[in-house]
Amino acid sequence: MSKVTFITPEGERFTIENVDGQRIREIALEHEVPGIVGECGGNCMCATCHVYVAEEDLPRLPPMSAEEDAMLDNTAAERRPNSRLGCQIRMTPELDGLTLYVPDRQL
Amino acid sequence: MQRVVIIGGGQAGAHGAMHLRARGFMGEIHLVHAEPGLPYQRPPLSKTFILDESPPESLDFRPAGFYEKERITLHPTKAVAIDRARGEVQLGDGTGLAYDALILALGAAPRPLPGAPSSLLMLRTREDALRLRPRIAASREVLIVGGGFIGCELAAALAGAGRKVRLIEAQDEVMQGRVSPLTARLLREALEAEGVEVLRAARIAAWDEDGLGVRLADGRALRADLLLAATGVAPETALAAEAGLAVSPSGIEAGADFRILDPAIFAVGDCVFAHNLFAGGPVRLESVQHATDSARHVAELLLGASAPYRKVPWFWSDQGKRRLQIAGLIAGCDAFRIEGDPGAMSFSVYGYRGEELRCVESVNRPADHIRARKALTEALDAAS
Repeated sequence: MSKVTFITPEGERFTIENVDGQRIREIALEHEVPGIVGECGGNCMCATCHVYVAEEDLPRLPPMSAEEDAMLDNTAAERRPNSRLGCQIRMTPELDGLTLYVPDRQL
Repeated sequence: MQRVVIIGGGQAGAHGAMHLRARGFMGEIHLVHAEPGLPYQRPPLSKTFILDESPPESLDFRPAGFYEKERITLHPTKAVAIDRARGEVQLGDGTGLAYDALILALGAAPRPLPGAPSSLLMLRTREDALRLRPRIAASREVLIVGGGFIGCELAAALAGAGRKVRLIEAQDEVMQGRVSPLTARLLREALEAEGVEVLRAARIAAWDEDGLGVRLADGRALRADLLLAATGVAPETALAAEAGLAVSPSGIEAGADFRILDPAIFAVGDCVFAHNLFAGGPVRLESVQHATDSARHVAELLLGASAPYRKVPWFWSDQGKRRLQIAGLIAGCDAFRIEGDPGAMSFSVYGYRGEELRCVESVNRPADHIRARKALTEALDAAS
């Protein structure tokens, strides 16, 4: 079963196991990973579940939709080439071991 | 400031509580949330939740442990009165809850329909949706009364799930006054193309006693094996009115900072009628954005901030495969311009008041929407 690791700006690590089928945003909120707000409820409307994906994991990720791409232009922390929205990524066995960095702000 | 009490655990109340703590408020936070379960998000109710089998907790904003860890005390009961002289909220369980600051996040509730039977089904809460699920599963033909955002979302969702849907709208067009005439027509035609029969300018003369049919003013009798009323909401103002605060049918009256006459009390979200910088006057807004931003604004005020509330409204409505995103406000727009490809259901309608861009409605054009939010925000910042 897959696991995912979140690393906060302070360097704190949260590794969560058995997450297949769940979205990154839900996983973070359910396990109280600080720094993920998710105010719109996972509807790709607010860009407050922004994460930076570890460079080595980028090729494994599913491509982003036009909607996610547009919303990422609205993040509070700087958008980078490895920026994604947690509400748009669902964990699958292909993503096992994914590492995500939480930005320093979402608002 | 020792203790903040928030009445209402909807989008505004819950996010206000979270924001207060996230920004470093050290005192007590009490959230009075009368509905069963933890505070939850409503938007999926009319789009997916009524049709899927996801558990009720999937809508929770945060798990129970979050509230414990963040020291946000949940009171699973109603607030029955506000004693302003004592600075205390009376709760339905008979206890009193003193406050230093009180935030009213009371929300809105379906407008009562004269002559409608008590068996009439409506959708506002998670409990409503859970009750509707088996009824929807067993239905083939559905009547929806009210062609606003919720009615159109329900119609698209139910038609998409194979139901024969008829949508009854009293006005000449669906979503009238909420979106431009052009967007309304295009979205209505898309519903019709999916098999939804939209009856416009259809006034209801009488309701069937069993809640499953209506008779229209033109004499037509319509029945189905499920009837849902989605005829809009009215702000919850009773608690404020009984406490002697200024209310009107538009909502709880408040200034630009969501302060009301009593300096210790604020009103946020769907229940408040407040001066709005972008609108240029007092408005009541029903949206996730306004609920969240107004509550956060009050949280910031309580922590000592003084910047004015300066947010551009945004909104969304998922109608089947069509995602409508709105930035700005349609009120006062007198000219419209369309871009994109309406035939392919990918377009944006730009609304102007004179020369000024005031509103952008995008259907399946997310990049236009984000550009619009930014452009309207820059214009507002430049003007104020």
